[in-house]
Amino acid sequence: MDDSHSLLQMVNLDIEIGNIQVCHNLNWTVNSNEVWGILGLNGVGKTTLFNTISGLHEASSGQVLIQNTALAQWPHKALAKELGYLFQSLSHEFPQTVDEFCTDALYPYINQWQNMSADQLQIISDSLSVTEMTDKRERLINSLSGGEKRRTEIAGLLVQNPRLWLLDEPVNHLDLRHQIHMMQVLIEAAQKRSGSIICIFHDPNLAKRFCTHILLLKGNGSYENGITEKILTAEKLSQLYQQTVIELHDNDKAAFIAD
Amino acid sequence: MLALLSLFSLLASLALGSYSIPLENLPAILSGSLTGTDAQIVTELRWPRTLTAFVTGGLLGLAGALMQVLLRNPLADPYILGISGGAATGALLAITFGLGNEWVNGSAFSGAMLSMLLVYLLSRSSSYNSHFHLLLTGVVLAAGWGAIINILLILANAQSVHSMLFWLMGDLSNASQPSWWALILLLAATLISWLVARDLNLLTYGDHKARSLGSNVRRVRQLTFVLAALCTAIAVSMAGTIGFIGLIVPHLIRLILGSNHRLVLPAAVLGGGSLLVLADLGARTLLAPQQLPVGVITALIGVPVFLYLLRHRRNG
Repeated sequence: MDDSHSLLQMVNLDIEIGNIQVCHNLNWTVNSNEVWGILGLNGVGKTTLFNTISGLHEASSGQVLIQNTALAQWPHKALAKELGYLFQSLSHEFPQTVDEFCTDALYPYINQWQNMSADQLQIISDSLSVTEMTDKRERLINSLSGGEKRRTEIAGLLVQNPRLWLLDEPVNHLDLRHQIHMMQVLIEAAQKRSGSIICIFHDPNLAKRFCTHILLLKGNGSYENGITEKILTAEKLSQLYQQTVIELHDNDKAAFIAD
Repeated sequence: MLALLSLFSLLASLALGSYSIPLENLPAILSGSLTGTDAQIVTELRWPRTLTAFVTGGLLGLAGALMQVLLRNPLADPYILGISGGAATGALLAITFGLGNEWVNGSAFSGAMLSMLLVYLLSRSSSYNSHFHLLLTGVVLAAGWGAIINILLILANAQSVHSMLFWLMGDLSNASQPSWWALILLLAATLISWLVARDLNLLTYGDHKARSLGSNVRRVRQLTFVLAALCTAIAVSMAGTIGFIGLIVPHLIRLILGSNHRLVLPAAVLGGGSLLVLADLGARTLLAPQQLPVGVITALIGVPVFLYLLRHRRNG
């Protein structure tokens, strides 16, 4: 597999939702082995951008290419093997267990007449193990805590095992240790397939720690993207959030805080 | 286990009634080697009625399970989208004009189809997450049918009102022919829906999640809607609006078996069929020789079970 392969390409993309211009003339390429962070104010359209990339929202103009093929030309199941989406939140209206949720994530890999193979059962076990959900696999999802639900959803995405991972606020509800651990698990899983991660964050410090590249959505369709060192500065963050952000240094470490 | 329950309910229904038939005679009667009054009661009266009850219950169980996924609501039932309201309007019109049973059934089916078409056309929308739109459209249409039904009841003469009320409460006493065609349709609907069972599993998480896992959401939703509506229409046109089976059975099955629709769908068919056969047995025997509409019995069983489930759900 070619490591420098472009996994996602947006060409002259215009996205609108209601009367909000999410992005105007967006040209953005995500190559394999990159970790992108998306930052922006609430309501600027970060999730809508994800919905557009995954075909749930239609762009007003321009093109989305997944591995150099137009999004609309991908068969549903084939796309699900390449593109995975961790939603900001899922509601569970029916009594499902953690195990059932992970089993359902195998959907793109099995047809109607097949049962799960030993390998696939192993994938589910491994995914539950790294997300530390093994002892809760028989529990109903609705009976779990917010953080455990989040880890269940992450386990499901690990079972789906795509190449391009869209993560909408992946650390929502997670405690500090699990925030770091889950990000490491996800990045490692993506690297195994020479894949890439695009991640919506509200914490610039997490973005700085894990992302190789950053896309800032600045509102009214304008954006800025590039490598993390260049984009993630106190000055740019202050502008983005309309709130003074300063960078504190301690030996070789640095952290952004709101002033 | 459900298969055993089905068999038990079928045998009980054939043997018991205002006149009991020894269980050991049933095999001989069914194979045709025993004749006489007993055999006549079984083959000409009880067997058509039992089969109709089983098929109707199975259709309602399946339609309920499908409707719950379609609307992403475990408390939805086959009648929630007004398909039964359309059927009732059709049936009551036929009764108003003094038409025979065949006409009542046919008219009910036409009304159900009309209602299904209306819901479909009015709720067609390009957006995903369309279950809410569909639900609202259906509920509003159902309310409209309800108004028409009330008008028909008020305008009807005393004799028609009795038939109308029996029809509205759900009644199997008109089943005089074994409904083989309906059984075949039930089997076909079960098989077809079973083929999209995995897609239905995904739909319970919402349209977006289902789509992101590779399901062709729009096609599956359309198929599910048509299957659920057809099953409801057939059930209602055979036996009127029998309540609670389509709500209680799938819900109960989910609590016992989980949410894998590869199990839930066939189990809802067997469970619905068995429950309605047993309820009909109750309707025939509890106040014998007076027969009750079977819908009364299912509601009497359904209400406490439903309340129990509701509590269970809130605590769980």
